Amino acid sequence: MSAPLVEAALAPHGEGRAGEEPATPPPGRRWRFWRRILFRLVGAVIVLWAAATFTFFVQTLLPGSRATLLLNEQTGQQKQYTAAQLAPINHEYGFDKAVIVQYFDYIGGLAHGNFGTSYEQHQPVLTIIARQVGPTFALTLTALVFAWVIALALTLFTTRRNRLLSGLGSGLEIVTAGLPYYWLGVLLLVVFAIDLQIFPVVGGTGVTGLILPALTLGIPLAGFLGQVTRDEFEKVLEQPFVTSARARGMGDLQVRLRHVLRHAVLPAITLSGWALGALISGAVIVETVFARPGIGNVIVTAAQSRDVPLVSGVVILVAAVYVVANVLVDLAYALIDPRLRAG
Amino acid sequence: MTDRPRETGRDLLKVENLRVGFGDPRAQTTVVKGVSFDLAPGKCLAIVGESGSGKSVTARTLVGLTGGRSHVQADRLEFDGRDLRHLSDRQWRSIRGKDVGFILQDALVSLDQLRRVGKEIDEALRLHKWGDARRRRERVIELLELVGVPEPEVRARQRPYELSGGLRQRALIASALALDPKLVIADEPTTALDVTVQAQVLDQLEEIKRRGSAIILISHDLAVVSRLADTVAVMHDGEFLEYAPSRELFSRPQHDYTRALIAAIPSAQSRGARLSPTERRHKLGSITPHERSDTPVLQADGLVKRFRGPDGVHRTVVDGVSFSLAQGETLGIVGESGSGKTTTARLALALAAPDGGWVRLAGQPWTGIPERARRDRRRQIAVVYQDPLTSFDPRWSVQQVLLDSLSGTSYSPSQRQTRVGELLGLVGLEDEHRLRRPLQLSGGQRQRVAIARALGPEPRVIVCDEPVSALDVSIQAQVLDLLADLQSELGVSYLFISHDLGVIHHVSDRVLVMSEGKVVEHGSSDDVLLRPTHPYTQKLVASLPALERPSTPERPPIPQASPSIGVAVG
Amino acid sequence: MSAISQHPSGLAPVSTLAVPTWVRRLRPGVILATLVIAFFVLAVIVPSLLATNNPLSINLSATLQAPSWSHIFGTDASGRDLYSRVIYGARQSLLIGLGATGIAVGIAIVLGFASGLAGGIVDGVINRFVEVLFAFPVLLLALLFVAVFGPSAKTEIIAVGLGTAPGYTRMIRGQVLAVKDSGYVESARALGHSYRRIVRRHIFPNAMRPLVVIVTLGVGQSIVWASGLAFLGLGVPPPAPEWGALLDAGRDFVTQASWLEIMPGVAIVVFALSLTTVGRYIQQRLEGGITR
Repeated sequence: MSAPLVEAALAPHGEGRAGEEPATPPPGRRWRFWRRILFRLVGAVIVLWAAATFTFFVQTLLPGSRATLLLNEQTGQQKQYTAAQLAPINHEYGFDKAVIVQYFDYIGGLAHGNFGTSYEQHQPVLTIIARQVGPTFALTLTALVFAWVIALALTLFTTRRNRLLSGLGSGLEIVTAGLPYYWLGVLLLVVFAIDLQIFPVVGGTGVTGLILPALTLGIPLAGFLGQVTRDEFEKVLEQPFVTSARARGMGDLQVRLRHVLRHAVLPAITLSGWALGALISGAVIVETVFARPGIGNVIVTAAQSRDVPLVSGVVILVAAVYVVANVLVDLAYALIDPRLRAG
Repeated sequence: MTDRPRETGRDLLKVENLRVGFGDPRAQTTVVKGVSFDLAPGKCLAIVGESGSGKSVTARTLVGLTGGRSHVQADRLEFDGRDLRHLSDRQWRSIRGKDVGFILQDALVSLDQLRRVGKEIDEALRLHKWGDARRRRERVIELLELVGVPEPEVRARQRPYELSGGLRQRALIASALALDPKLVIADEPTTALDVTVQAQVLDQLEEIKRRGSAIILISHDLAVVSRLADTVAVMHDGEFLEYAPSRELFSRPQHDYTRALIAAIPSAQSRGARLSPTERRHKLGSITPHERSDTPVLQADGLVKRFRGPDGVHRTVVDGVSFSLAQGETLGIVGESGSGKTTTARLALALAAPDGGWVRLAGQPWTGIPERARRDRRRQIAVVYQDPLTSFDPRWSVQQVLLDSLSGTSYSPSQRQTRVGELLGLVGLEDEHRLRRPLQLSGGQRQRVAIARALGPEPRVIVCDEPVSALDVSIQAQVLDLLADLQSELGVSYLFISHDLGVIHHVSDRVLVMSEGKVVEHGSSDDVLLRPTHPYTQKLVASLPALERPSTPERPPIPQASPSIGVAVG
Repeated sequence: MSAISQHPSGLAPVSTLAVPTWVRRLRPGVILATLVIAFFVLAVIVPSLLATNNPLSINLSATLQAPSWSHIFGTDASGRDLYSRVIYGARQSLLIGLGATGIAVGIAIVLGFASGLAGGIVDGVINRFVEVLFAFPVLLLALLFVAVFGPSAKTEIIAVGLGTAPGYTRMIRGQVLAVKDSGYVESARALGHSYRRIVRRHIFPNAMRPLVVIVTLGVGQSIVWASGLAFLGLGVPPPAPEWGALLDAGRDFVTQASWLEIMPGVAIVVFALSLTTVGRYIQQRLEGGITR
């Protein structure tokens, strides 16, 4: 699932032009660079808008009337209501307006930071999320760091060594990449917290309480990133410029660190944008396993009580994170691979 | 950088009975089967061989880079008095780059694309703890000047893809020379390079030799080594079949293989003669040659093609190209990379639409008409590519490929099966190859299948886009002979594209020289290539490494009796 | 322009059919994986053959027993044999996995081919759409669907199918583009074949090559996601012995009876891993016999 960008960047460039190149870069290259950033940002906004539209569209598919649903959730019953009973709710939430009007209200509201009001808690969605989002971000970012460290270490030290080591490293990556979070989390919990009692069972927000959940989230991602990086690493190790470096007298580890690594991480960096979104979604499960506070709780209870605005709010927020992360990743990529800057 | 005093007599390198195997010690494949050679300082040894001969592996034993699964044994392996047979990795590292410099082919992939050129050169210095940062910076500039890179301060800060092919190669050479090594090993340093750049690289190597370093030159190209080598070793299947001073080898080659190798080189002198020792196969089958006609079989006028690069700049790749190809004739298009010759071929095939100009096939309009109108006529023009492997559907067998090429013809299914057999015979393949997959065939065999496929629809013209560039010299010779035979039997015309002047001169009746999208010169091949008038053509011809054979003008005898068959001219 | 058959770094002649060593070593692993898959398929078709007890029979005198010879996976809070519940749960879980993968692959083929073949605006629009879908992680999309439609098997299938579709779409589109640009498609054009014929005989069969891996990977992935949903209490309503539901039920007993949580997870992990292993192996064999 690597972006087309990776292939484009790694495509060979023309060779052997008979003439000499100008010493200075052609004018307008700077401007093209900034123009590309602008395009990315515009694209990002469009994707966000489309995501919001999609979410709204799903909401309209709700079977039955929303007002009925709301009332039933509040009272815990499953009844039908007369139109008169539903009217005040319809009015309060704007369900009586035409769908198009509701849509524009919705989009307009999002643009102003109004993500709607929770059915359940009767508070602005954004407020509810903002209260709980901190621990989730901490968890997600820590997991990302863990994932990268593990993936890089595995790749660096076990690619193309002896058969045993490479096979082990590769096998480990394949197995861990497919592990479900709930299972891994419970396993780690049972082994390290309950049996060995190294970590607390219910961790709260302290640092020690962060480690097991972050590992649970990070290990499967490490497996996935590791596979991608390993494939690339192996390919790059075969390249002639690596032989050139060795022929200059460079030792193996140095070759891997100084030459190969930079090339090999390119695809994994591209994936990190997507990875962040996937991590947040995985955090939902992990927080449940470890009973950590965070968005996970929020969204699970919201889904259970059919609190559509709250769930939608979280979903759109995560989409925003994914989009922003991708833009940042594109920038980071261009910094590392200057071939892209040259066009 | 000082010239080293010429040490005579004491050999720098002594190798006796070198054997290299790969894989499991009990079941290894032996790639080098006992070679011996010596090298004195300031001398050049060339190891020439085709792919799989083991020449590269031999070179790499001298820097200990044969790879983890290799087993190197020798009765003697001495460099500068030092025994190389049981060195640890750390000891090897002190030799690599410092006492022995290694130059690989194609700087585009032999230099780290993500790093500045200056840093690559600096790396060699830094690894051996030479000087401090400031001294190293100065030295990098010195080295770039030494190899003839203009504006070295600017170039050092650029990355390989920002430099032209020639400059890149020089930068690669500079990084190998950084610590003034006593021995420089160049592994195919001129392959994949344009002829003019190739000449520059050879100049550089000559300089290196003059300054007193010894050189080991690995190549498959005899012409390239003839200029520099003092001694030549011809390697085949892991052994030296011949090992002699260069003058002797070229004037009086002893071994049949060497003689065949020399004879296989296409050039101005080889025109009209067979290159390979194989005989004509007379399996004409039921293909009738096309009737003679005076209409040119392919005509182009004022072809223009522009492309928009990834940076948004429009480049005119083909700029006003015109030509005319008569029946039974071969028109060669020669040019360096970026000259637009491949794009011209695609325009001729109407696989790309020209932005200006037109093409006519057998007198009828070929471009500017809808694809529907072209489809039926496509069987009159066929194509053979440089790398046939990618032009075959990976799931198909040879038989399926050939049957597919017959799909537009009027044969019945059973007739088609017979036709497939005939086509195979025409190109010199056997029935046993029918059910194989192209992946299981050798490079030469694949190219024959590609030619058979091109012949399937019985075309009038075959566009050959670098059809032999990826083949070993001896296989190349066979394929060129095959193409010549087919032309004389069937009267088919060729539009032959190549960067190799020797090949072009051998096969073409007339030649087009292209540079940067334009035709700079055209005419009969002898006129253009022996008496060039345009400065670019002159430069091209002058850069051609001629096989330096001392006075004897005769070609070495070819050990078979069949008469030579001329290349048919209409 | 060196000879094709020469290894790029000029070293040992490497067979062009070289398969990475880990695949060679996995061969006994592949056999094992195939057996596992066969086992579960059997569990889907004839669960009574493999189960030791009735999955629904309650036995209050044997609650929360650790794994033993009579109860391989132990028992749950109502004394039901966990192993049998896992066996019987295979059917529903596998069907959900197949359904979701079916939807995802169906979408991927349609969109991937449409955008790869058409190019231009169609490609651009579909690409944007896929990009948007990518912005919704599978689980969150599923939660959205559950919030709107309520928890059910159908919701699970559609949500997981939609959520995993964009990845496969990109894979197929990539293959279509690669084949479209390949030498053999150009050769077919040069021979005068019609566009329809080229798509039918070259593009379609070659672009579908990663399908084996996609399907096996997909079924495993879908089962994992669906059971994840159920773990959160938002899956198929109880008392169905679907794997995810077993996980949900076991959540409360993590500290005292961890096997209730771990064993169904083992079944899921082992099954998904076996699918992936076999899928990769088949892919390697297919690729090894032919080349791009």
